[in-house]
Amino acid sequence: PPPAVRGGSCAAVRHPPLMQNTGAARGGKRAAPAGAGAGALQPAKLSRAELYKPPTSEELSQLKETEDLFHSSLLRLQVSRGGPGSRRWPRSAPLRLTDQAWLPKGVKVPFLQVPFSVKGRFRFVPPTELKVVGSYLLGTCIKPEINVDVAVTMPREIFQDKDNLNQRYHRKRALYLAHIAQHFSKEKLFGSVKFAYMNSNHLKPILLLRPQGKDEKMVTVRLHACPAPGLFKPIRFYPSKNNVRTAWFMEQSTPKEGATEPPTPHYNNSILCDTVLLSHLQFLSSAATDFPGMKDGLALLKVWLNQRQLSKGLGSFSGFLASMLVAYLLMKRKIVKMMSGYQVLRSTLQFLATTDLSVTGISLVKDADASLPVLDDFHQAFEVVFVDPSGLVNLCADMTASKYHQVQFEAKRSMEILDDRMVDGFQVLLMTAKPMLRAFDHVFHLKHVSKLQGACKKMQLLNELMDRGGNYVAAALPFIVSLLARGLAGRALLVAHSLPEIPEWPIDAEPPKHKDVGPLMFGLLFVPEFAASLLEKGPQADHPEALDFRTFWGEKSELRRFQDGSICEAVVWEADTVYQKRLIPEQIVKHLLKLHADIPESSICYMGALLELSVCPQVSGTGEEAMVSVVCSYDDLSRKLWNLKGLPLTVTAVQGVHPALRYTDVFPPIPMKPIYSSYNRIRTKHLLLPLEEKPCPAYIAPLKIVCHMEGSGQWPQDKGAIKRIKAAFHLQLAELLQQQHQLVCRPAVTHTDVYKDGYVFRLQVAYHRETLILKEVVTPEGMLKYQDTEESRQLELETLHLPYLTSSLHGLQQQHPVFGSTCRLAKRWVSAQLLSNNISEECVDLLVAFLFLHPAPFTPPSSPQVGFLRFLDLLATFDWKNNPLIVNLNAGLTGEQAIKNRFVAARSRLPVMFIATPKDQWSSMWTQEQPSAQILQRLLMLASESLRAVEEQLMDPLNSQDVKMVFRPPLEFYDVLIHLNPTQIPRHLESVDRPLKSFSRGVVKNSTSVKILFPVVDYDPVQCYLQELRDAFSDLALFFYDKHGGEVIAVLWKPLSFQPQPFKVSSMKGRMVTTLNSELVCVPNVEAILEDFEVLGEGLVKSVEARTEKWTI
Amino acid sequence: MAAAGERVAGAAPAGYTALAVKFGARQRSPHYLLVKEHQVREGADTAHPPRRTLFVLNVPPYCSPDALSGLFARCGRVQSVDICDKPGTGEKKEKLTSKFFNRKTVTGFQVAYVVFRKRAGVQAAKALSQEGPLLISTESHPVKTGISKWIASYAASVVDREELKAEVDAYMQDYDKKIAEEEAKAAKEEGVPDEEGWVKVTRKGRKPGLPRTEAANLRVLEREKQKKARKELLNFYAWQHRETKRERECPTLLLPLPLSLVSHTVAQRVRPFSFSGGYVQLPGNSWLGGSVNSLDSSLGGPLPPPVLARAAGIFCRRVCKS
Repeated sequence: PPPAVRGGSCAAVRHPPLMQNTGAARGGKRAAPAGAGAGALQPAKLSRAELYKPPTSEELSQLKETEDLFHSSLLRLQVSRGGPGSRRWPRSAPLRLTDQAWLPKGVKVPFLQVPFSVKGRFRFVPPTELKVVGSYLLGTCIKPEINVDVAVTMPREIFQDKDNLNQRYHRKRALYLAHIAQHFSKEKLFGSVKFAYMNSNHLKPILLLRPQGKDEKMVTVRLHACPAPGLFKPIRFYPSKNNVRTAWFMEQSTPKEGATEPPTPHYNNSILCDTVLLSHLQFLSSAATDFPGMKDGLALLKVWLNQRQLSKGLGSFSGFLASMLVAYLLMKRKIVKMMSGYQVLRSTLQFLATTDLSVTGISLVKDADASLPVLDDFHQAFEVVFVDPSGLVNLCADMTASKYHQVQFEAKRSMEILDDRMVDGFQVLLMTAKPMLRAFDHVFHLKHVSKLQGACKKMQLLNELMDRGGNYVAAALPFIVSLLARGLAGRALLVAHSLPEIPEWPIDAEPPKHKDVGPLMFGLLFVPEFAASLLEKGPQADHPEALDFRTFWGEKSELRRFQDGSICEAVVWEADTVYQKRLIPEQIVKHLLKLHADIPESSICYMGALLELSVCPQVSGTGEEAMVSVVCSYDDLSRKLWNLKGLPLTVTAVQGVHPALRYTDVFPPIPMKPIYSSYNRIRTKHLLLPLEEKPCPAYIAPLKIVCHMEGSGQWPQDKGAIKRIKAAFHLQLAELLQQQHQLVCRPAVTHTDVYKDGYVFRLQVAYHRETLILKEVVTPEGMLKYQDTEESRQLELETLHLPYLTSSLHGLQQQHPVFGSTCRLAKRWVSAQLLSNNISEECVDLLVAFLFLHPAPFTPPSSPQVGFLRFLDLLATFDWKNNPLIVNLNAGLTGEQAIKNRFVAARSRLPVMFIATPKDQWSSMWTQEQPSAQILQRLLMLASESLRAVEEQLMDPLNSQDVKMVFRPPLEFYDVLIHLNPTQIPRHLESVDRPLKSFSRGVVKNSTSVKILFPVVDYDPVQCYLQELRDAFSDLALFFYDKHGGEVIAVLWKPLSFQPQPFKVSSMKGRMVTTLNSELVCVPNVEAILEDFEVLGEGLVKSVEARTEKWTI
Repeated sequence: MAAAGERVAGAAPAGYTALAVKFGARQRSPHYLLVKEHQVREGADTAHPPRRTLFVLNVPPYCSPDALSGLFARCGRVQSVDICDKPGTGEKKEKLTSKFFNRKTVTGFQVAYVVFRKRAGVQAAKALSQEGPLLISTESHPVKTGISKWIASYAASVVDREELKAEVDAYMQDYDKKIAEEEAKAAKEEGVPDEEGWVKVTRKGRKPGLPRTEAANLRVLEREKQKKARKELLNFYAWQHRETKRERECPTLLLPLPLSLVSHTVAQRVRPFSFSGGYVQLPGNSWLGGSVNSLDSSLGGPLPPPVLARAAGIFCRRVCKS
């Protein structure tokens, strides 16, 4: 056993796992009261008579206290001054504080001693008391970190007068811990002995002890050193008092004459904290008695805080703070002891949501003492105020206002979620992690925090530095954040920062420096309407605030005349494209930090839009403008169609179905005009054909539009006849558009292609009764029945459901401007992983729509990147097997529970991925055929891997970011790779890594030409090739291809098809008959098939790489 | 067949002969066509007369009918080649009259029926297995694949407006004529009994009949049911009255309850009922007389922990215990 507990005074009634206790082993029941004796002077061995003598009243009261305070089953440790342990912890001779030679080599002082020289003497005297404090006793510890906090009371003798000054107390405390550490490091009982900073506050090192063996990860004992009670006079530590002398801190020999010393509230607070450890415990345990709900409620609260990354680091909203807050609410009777854990959680969140502690602080003091400082004093010294029962300590001293606002925001959001009946609150609030990367729209890193030193100098924060013991990160952070918050006032809902966190370190290492907190991360949450505005309008030029505005924005501010005639100060940011506009906050952040804090742009790593540009590169920006001009052109065409004269029936509706018309096409079409010389011209038919010897012409995607014709008795009621009439309409539409609007058209049986503004629209006439007619079946009895057929289903999808989906999503884009871009990123990722053929585009659109319509616990994304990260997370974590994904488009659903019930009842018959929308509650039409279970499995795996990889990159600002990595598919998994000839890939330029060599594709950008030969439309040799491959070999292999410029078709043999099968007439495709064990069996003719790959793709296939080692027949 | 069996790769099941074919001279590994004499019952398949027809399995995707007839031309004059998806559908196919509509192309590996002029052709074809691999694409008859094929099919997809218009007009004229004839016929038959004395009722005319659709039928049935319910006399007899009363007071319930629910809630409150499977039968008449102990043994076990226990993985209150 460790010396600390050897004194025979262990009163633990149950044995603690980490420290063997001799008392319990020796005396059973009676040992406990005896050991708990306050005198603690008993010899190690008690005689039998002594052991069984009735307890004295003193012992009884002690026992009572133990039971009351510690619920009888808790660990209580005391070290007697005269116990044998003291022999092994000898008192040391008093030495100067700076004389640290007595420390052995294996232990370093866990304190940054800057400046090094300080007065005072230190010697080691064994602690007067060891007591367990904190959450362990209260039973509110939660996994994964179980900490047992032990307060080690340093005896009065080691302190001197004026130890409150100039970090002398702190240094003695550190030396004291170092001394203990030195002893414990030799003990075999401990698996590890380490130092850490309490809540990453470098003035407050603590000692971490972990048991040996497999329990090492389970529990940590944290030793806090604290002064003997009554050592310091509280009045010395009021927030307005100074305890760090400027002369000492600046290492000047003599203090400046007449200069007043600034108050050091944070420094004072750090000492006061130590003095109240025990009283806080008593306070909390009195709150927790007869209050079973508190334990549950606190556990829930801690999980809630942990999931939001609020509970660790300097200035965190720690679990202890949460306990104190619950106790406060109990005191104010906002919580009563009857409440359950859930009610405690709810009341606490409600309180947090409605109270701004940075404006109106709260205090736990019961009877106000006139001598104590008032709340206003605290407000002047600290950003967030929550005063403890003693009236001296601010529990939120290190917290920045921004952090509290984040807590408040989260609480508000959580209350909304708890009140929303549609959401599973438990899952969303407590089981979903909210890392900053996924919670904030833009994040940026301050790569080198050492730059904050310069910032402190620029902002003249010497007093704060002194107060914080030289920690420039803590000193500068509140100022930096409030600077940013002011600069982004209209744009950002929330400006948050990550909490500086310093990891623990071994005792033989030097303590971490301030810069070891690593890069600081900041997160911005936008107001979507204003985040991208170009203008920052200031006060009128003649107002007094104008000067303030000018100094804040520096040179960027200029006088401008506005339409209402006023002349105002204003800042105008430069941005041409939507993409650049989204990055205006980046300009602001960089400008302000440079101007006011001297932080160069190079040390800011802005991660707002890394993904967007790198993946969907267009000539200018991200192609969002291109999409808008497509939609404009489409609107114009639909107007022209409406007003077309000379049609026998009028047009009742024109609906777009192409993804570009709902802003979700990965590569929106660009206006093109053909260069005749690269084509085979057929003048008689006014069209162009591709030439075999030239590179394949650029792919021109036809934009599908459905044109509904008025119903009339003139429509025939027969399948074949309707098709003919539709063909006749296509012919006539082409003719009329050419006559009345001079548009070049090319009619076909099923559609008419119209060349307009450089785009090609594909018009498709629809008649609303046609699906019904296709469904008609006449039974033998002559009864008419309606039955779904493949053809009718297809037509219904194209002319009814797809237009509806397109218009709904178009509406969603109007509400959430980044919906389209998020979709495009998601689709690009799916196709880059070679799976675009295995999951429908509409399905991906709906998944992304879900993120915007049901964002809980987040807010709807305001940048494509965060949307994409959440898309990956949704794919990877959603429980597709047991839950339907309900996308409430246009808020048209009310009976969600009914869908869930029906889903559960019919699970086995439903598609693996079930997506319900208001217009499609039971069939999940977009996922009916795809993806298959295997493909979904692979998709989920890829999603979680990609998410991990991309988040790792985004969290690491010091390395170069290659976020494209997740857009490069792993190919080692496939059996055969068919390499394609880049000249014949029409979309080669769309590939993830832009090819070095490009080919003339026979088009130029132009949208004005009118009279031209009709360009080559919808001609993609790779797709033709894939179609042929799938037709021929679909029962033997799967083919994967990135339709956006992939150079490789990956082939995977179906494992079952390689099993020898008995001969069957219907399954001879591509197989051959052979003898196996004198039996005739069929096996795939692999060599011939590999040659077929080349034959079928003559001119397109460069080589076929067969990885023969991967399969056996 | 025995001959084919010697080469392991080209083995063939009983009745078939394996013929090696390659696309061109450059290819090394051949595919194997399985051929046999087409056999059907007399007269069943007129398009593919038995004995003169060779049934071919496993025809590679690039092998068009023309290429196939070229392949077998050396065995005798080929009368026709039919290529289809799967065997057996050799019934008289609808002759495709339209150039634009209902065009179906067969893709992938196919089966073919090669009809020779003479019976000898079939035997000669079978004998080809002795020779080396046959070539599908030769210099004299090259088969287009890849880029050149796709360009050709793109060119073919462009329709001629005049031609299409003419075809549509012709079809619609026929269709209109047909409809007009039908209507005229129907008008003539309106109200006139046929030979057996039946009068056909249509939706037109003075007394329109109901449409014969499934929906209309269901509607009628529903209406009938309601009518019947209205007519039925309830509690007419004394015993009916008694039954209803008893039913109202102690209803017989058959509740579909999940077993998990049964064992925890129902068991606690409603002990004295028997149950089987997932159904709890609560007796109506024998309210007091049910067996009391039947449930006790099977329903032991603790109640489910409160909902909060879902978070049990996160909480840890008793580190010591473990």
